[in-house]
Amino acid sequence: METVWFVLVALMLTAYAALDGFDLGAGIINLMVARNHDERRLVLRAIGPVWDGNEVWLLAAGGALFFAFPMLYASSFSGFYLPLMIVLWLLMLRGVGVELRSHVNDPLWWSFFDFVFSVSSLLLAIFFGAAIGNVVRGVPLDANGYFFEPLWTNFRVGANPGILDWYTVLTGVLALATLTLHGAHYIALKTDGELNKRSQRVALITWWILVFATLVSLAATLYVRPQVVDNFRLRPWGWIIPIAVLVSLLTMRFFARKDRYLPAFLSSTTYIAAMLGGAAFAMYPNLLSASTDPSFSLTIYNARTGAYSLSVGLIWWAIGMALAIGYFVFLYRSFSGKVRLDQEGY
Amino acid sequence: MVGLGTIFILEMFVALFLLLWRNRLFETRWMLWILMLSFPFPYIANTAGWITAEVGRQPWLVYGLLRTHQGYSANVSAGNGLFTLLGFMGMYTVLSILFIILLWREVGHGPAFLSKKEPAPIVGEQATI
Repeated sequence: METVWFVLVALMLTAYAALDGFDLGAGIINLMVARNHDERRLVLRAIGPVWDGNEVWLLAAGGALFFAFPMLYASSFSGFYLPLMIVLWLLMLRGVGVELRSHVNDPLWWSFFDFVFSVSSLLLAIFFGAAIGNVVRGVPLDANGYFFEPLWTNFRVGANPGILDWYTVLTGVLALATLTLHGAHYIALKTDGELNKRSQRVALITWWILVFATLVSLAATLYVRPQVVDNFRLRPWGWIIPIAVLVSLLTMRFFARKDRYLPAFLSSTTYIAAMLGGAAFAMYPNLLSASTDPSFSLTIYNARTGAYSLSVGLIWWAIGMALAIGYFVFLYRSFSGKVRLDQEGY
Repeated sequence: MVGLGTIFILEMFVALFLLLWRNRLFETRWMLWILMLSFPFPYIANTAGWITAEVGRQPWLVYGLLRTHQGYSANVSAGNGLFTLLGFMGMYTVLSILFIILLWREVGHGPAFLSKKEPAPIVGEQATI
């Protein structure tokens, strides 16, 4: 049961990264590709109907984490307190930046909220990447399973790491590149004309950065936490994951160059799924590794709730997930196609 | 909160009755005044309800099982808590001010169906800026 819930939580976090990832990506490239009022409106219209629903996957994943692994929830949300609050504020600011822009007809108002939207999206990408970096690198858990990490200490990955050290900043940059590319594919998919061309340019340039960042962070991960390869030795079927990363990197560039953005977008979705899936696969059965003493690590066995809860919860999860997926399919199909400007809306 | 909630239900029944009885709701001035003046009450009711729930639960976090002072995060320092509290207060203050400004403008623009026949008097914007 614990393994099932481990997979489900990882799946929901991956869904969040793939879905809200393109909203954040759209925000990051907003200032770059949209140069005038109409183009900014088009970018907002591209993510407009879907961004709120996408963000809810974060809550779903957090809720499932609370339900299935309450000890991990308690430990990590206290230990990562400051960055968690900062992420909350950034999420609020991102929402405000999207929604309040269209309420006043004033160029100063528009550019202020464009700035808020863009900068908060960028910082969110970095913070989310740093969060995953922290989980992979390990945190200084004590014997009770609790810890607290300051925002930064000396930027070194040692006995006393902060939330931000050179490794997590690297994973933050990796996440930034990933989401920029993902968002560029989405904007290119949903728009035409100048926006489409500029998004394609951003996508093609960012691809090189992404490849470089992927390789560097892979090397860094092997250096910082050599145990990540253990699971790949134990369960060789896991090698499909790095292969998927490689293949998706190649296909996303191939399709982006040919102006076929739906396959490009699906390739970048696969890349995100493979990277996060790979991290989850490498960590299993640890949920949060301890940099202090490996026996202090939170695993799926010592952090979980009772077996009855896990079983019953699965039934409710399935019902909720069926409703959510049905709604999402309906939503995306209703708003499929290129975005157009008109009098109403953003 | 409960009293206000009951008043809302009564108000809405009266309004519904008026609406259905020959569509007289929009001509019944006294009812329109009541509806307009009760606009702050939902905020009061909402806040009163939450304060009752959160203050009333003390000293328990989980009634009979866990006290509040047993459930706090031991590793998070008071400074962190204060910083985030001030951060949230600041953010909500800014958002409330923005909300009030935008609401004021919208109210000043008047009802949408009017502005199609004649330009609505822009009371809100001129008066405040």
